[in-house]
Amino acid sequence: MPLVFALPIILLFIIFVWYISTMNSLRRTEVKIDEALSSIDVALTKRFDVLTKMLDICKNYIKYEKETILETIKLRTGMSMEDRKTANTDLDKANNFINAVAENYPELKSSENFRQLQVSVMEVEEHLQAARRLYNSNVSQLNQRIVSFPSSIVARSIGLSSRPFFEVEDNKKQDVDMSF
Amino acid sequence: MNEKISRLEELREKTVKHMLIILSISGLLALSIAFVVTARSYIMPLGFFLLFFIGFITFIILAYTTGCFKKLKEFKTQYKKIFVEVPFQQAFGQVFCDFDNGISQDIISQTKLIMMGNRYYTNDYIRGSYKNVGFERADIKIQRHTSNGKSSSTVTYFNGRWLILEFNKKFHFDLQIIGKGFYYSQKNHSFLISEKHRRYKIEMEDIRFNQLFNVYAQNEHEAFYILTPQFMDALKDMYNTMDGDFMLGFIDNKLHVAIHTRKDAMEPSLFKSVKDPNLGDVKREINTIIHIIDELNLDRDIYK
Repeated sequence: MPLVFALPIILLFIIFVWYISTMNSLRRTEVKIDEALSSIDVALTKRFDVLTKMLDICKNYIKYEKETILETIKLRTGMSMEDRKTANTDLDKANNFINAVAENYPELKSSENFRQLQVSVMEVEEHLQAARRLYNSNVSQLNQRIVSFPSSIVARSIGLSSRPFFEVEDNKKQDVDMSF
Repeated sequence: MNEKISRLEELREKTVKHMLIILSISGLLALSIAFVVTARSYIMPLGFFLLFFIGFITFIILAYTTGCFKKLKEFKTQYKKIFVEVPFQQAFGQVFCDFDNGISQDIISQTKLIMMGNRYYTNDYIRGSYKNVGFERADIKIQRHTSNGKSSSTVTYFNGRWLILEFNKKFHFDLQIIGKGFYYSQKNHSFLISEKHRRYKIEMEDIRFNQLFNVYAQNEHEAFYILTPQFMDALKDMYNTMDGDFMLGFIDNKLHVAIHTRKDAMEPSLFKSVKDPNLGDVKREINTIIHIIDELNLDRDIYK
């Protein structure tokens, strides 16, 4: 008789433990995603800083002040994914513009400072790519668990929803407009 | 060069003759003693035991005292100078070779990439550079020997070649990539290890890559920074072409490549003529180094 009463209790306890551990695992994945987002923000900020320094070097050669070129790029805390994508695309434009200026002025291109900053830009871009891939990988894991049974039950009950990927914008896949 | 090869062949023949003479003397002596003992005691197993034991001891003593081992070592050294050092110089220019020594145990132990056991052998150290990428290589064997008085066993953790190469990206955390089939690696994955030194398992976004390799890193971001999609493609190609299970470790701004070939490469055979040497192992060694540097683009110096 006692076993008949004990079995449902044991079963409930197992389900409870599973529910808690699944919920914790999903929450931990969310934290990792936020961490990866933060890495993306750091990389974007670094890229902005390095490009600003490059524009400082270029200012003797280009018509527009650097503020004009970079004023559209707004990096701030708590940006949405769309804002980040837009900022990244604008930084791509600025980078392409600087490279175009350097192609027209060989003395600029051969300057040691400019060359070192180009190396820094490449390194920062690789870090940005790594941060983006890490973020997408973590988002993919979370999204898979949100749609897969039985973890989908827990995800729905705690109000978790799928997170967006950091995708390349459609306009980036086309040729970049070089005019400012 | 032909003169050197002829002299080496003479040395080989002298060493073989010397060894056969010692073997014959040891054998005759052992046989005589074993026969006498067996005839007196009528215990056959004792006779067999004495035959092998006395034969072995006599052989060792005679080989040491008459300089046979010294000749053998001289032959191996000269062989490697001609058939290993020269091809390496032709492929890479200036190289430094020390065939009696290898990579020190401390260096391997500090990487914490592999279980160290209690026996460590290393030889055939070569240092050089290719496309301005410095490399070092050595043959390494790591074993654990246990004995409880009644029985003993030896487990080989690693037997193959170990490469250390300069890497073209700066990184601050350890990263380990273990090919499936490479056992006895040290992952530093346990929760008992402090968080500062612990490596965490990382799943990359390439499904096939995850099937072929396990990735452990102290920092997730650095793992994605080093393992670009192109790098992962190159590693997948290497998995199909490498002549053994392998593991990569990124430690202290150097890339370690451990290839478990299960043999000591580039060792000469005393019983084969050196006029027709088997250079397959040496060519494979050279091609492996070139392949790794080319496939992984280690010469890409945009960060230097």
